[in-house]
Amino acid sequence: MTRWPLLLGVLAAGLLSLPSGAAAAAGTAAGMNRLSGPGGPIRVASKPFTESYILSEMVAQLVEDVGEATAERRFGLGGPNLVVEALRSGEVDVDVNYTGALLHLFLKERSTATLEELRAELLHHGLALGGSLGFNNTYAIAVRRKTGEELHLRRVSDLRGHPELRGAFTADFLNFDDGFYKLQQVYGVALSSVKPMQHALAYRALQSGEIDLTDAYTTDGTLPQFDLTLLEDDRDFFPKYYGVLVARAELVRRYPGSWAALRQLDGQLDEQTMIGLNAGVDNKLRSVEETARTFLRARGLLHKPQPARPTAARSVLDSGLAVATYEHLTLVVISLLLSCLLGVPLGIIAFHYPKLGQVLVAATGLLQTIPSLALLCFLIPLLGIGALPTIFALFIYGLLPIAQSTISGLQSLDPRLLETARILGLTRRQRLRLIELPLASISILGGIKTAAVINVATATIAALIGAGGYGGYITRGLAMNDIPTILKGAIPTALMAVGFHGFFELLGRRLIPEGLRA
Amino acid sequence: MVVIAGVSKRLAEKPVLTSVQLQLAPGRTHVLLGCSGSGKTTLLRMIAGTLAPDTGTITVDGVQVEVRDPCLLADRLGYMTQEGGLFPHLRAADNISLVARVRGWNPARRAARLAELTTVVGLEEGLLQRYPAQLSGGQRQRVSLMRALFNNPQYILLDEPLGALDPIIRRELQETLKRIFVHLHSTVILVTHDLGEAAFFGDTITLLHKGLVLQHGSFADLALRPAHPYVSEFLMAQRPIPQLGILGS
Repeated sequence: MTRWPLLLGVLAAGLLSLPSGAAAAAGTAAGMNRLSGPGGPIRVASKPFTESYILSEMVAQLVEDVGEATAERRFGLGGPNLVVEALRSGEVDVDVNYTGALLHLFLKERSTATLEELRAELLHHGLALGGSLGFNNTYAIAVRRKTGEELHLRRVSDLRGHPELRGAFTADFLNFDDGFYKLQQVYGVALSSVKPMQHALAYRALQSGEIDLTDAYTTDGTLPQFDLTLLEDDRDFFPKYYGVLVARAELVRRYPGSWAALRQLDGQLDEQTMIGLNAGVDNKLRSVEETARTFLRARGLLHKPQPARPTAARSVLDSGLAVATYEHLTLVVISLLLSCLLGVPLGIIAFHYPKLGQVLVAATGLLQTIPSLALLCFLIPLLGIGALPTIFALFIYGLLPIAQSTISGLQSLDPRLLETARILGLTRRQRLRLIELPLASISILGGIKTAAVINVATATIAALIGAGGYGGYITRGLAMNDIPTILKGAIPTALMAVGFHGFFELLGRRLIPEGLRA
Repeated sequence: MVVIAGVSKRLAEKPVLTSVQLQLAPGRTHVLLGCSGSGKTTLLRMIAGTLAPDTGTITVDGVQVEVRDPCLLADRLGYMTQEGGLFPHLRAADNISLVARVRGWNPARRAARLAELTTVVGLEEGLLQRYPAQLSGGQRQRVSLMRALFNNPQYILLDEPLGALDPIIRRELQETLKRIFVHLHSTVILVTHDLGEAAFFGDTITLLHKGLVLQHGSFADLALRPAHPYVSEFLMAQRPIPQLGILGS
């Protein structure tokens, strides 16, 4: 008579058929706020850019060489704050960070603080700080070499006479107190156009002439490739960003041998060395793994002959497309099921109690506007990193379209039909099950389909918080300016979105009553 | 016996019914007649118990009607509306037996009742497996009638049941309905704006105008002893059919 119960069946079957995904999610939850247990791996984090991948790979290889613990690579986590949050909450154990960023995060009066003061402050937060690795990778302003020559731009102060130049800068650089706006004050520079832009995209925009200036890093290996010139910081504006090891204090205590081995990196990497290593990877001459190993061997820091790559290695790129597909699909399906289980009842409640409904819909709408990366940052202290916070975020994003489509589906029903059902003696519950939901099913399924397609795309952020999926390729590709790798993530994402669209078209044929399709 | 005592109702600040007093005797067919906006459908909804009067009471067999969810009288009511009010996602047979199904009638009993009613209303059996959108207007009304009769109700409420039909089908269905009403001895309350239909069905006719009952009585009462000038006006508005005989040979 009605096929609606089938939907519940499909949902239930979906939940049951994904025990491993759910278990993975639960596993992450269990790992929350827990240090690597006795004999557990040392979890090495990296941020999503070339230098961070290389340095963290060195850390992982040194850990494996010492052999006190295995290394678990949690690479490509988004943003400096996110990694520090993950370190503080015990989700990862060690990372290579930058003095400038740490001073900014932990000691606001950074200009006067020394490395020792920073180390003392970090200890209050349960973190240990290594010594400087040697290089200063600070911000610099980059222009096309040709533009620089034409306009005689050699120093940052030369920008003063050129307000027409268009700038695009990374969000970090724009938002830091000591970032671009302060620079404008110090140098007396005023640009007419300033936009936020992701780093790799900004390089491409610079190359194609869309913009004239961007922020670059002094150890960037791709500067020659893009034919860029760095302007001299003639007023000594930019703070120092020396590379340093940051680890959980517990790691130092539990694995002193590993920490000692890692500290051998101190002072080993000057700017020219770092630029060379970055350039090798950015120009695809060597892999990250090979770059790290060659360097460590040349400096005599590895002692074991050629350790086998541990199977526990956690990197999307090593595990291949099938695993990425599985991870991506798991994130989307579980979050979508949860969104349905809450979103449809939410829509029903909102329809029957319009005042409450307005509040609920406004609340889900508000959650919808939180940028995904910001939401993940809020979630780290509660849910850690990995699949769990990602699923939670996607679940939140799926709520609004599903609840909204349920409400509008119910609102569009003919009130005379509903009155007839009442006069016939159907109870409220019977009307909902037998009349209202089946009649609203086209609208509801439409909302679920929208949520699914949006979630497939949004799930690419999972890579920034260590939950894998197709986003791993995209993040890494963007970080290394490697378009084939970006496409390796972007194309399957698009295909999966199309696949979900098709799946719901077919499901509609099963679920939407025949009489409504005639 | 339906007793309507001093019922008034305002909707959106406008009076829809004013001090309606009526007694509708059991086992007869009562017609609520009037133009659109006369309040006749509002009165029917109040009897069904989906709308509460502002003042006054309605009692059915001595029990006061209250707005309840689901309707208080549902077990004793059959209900049919202009477009049939069929649920578009259910086949004709499922529309008809929906209520019996949720009340737990077993399939054999439902099938037997369905077969019986198919004969009573004169519907082709093959049409039962169709969806409402696949039926003609007249077929839909026969299905709707079967649904109204399924429970063997004591009271049958019909809101413009034939309003949207073309004349030939309309006439056929009028005869079907009348035959069934006579046969069943149920109390029928039928809402229409059509004088001919009122005269054809009504043991009593209640003429409503702007929320007031102008006259309650037989067709002969209304025609011969109009209680209000509007009653005559309403009756005279029916255009007589021209004498076609003079055109022929």
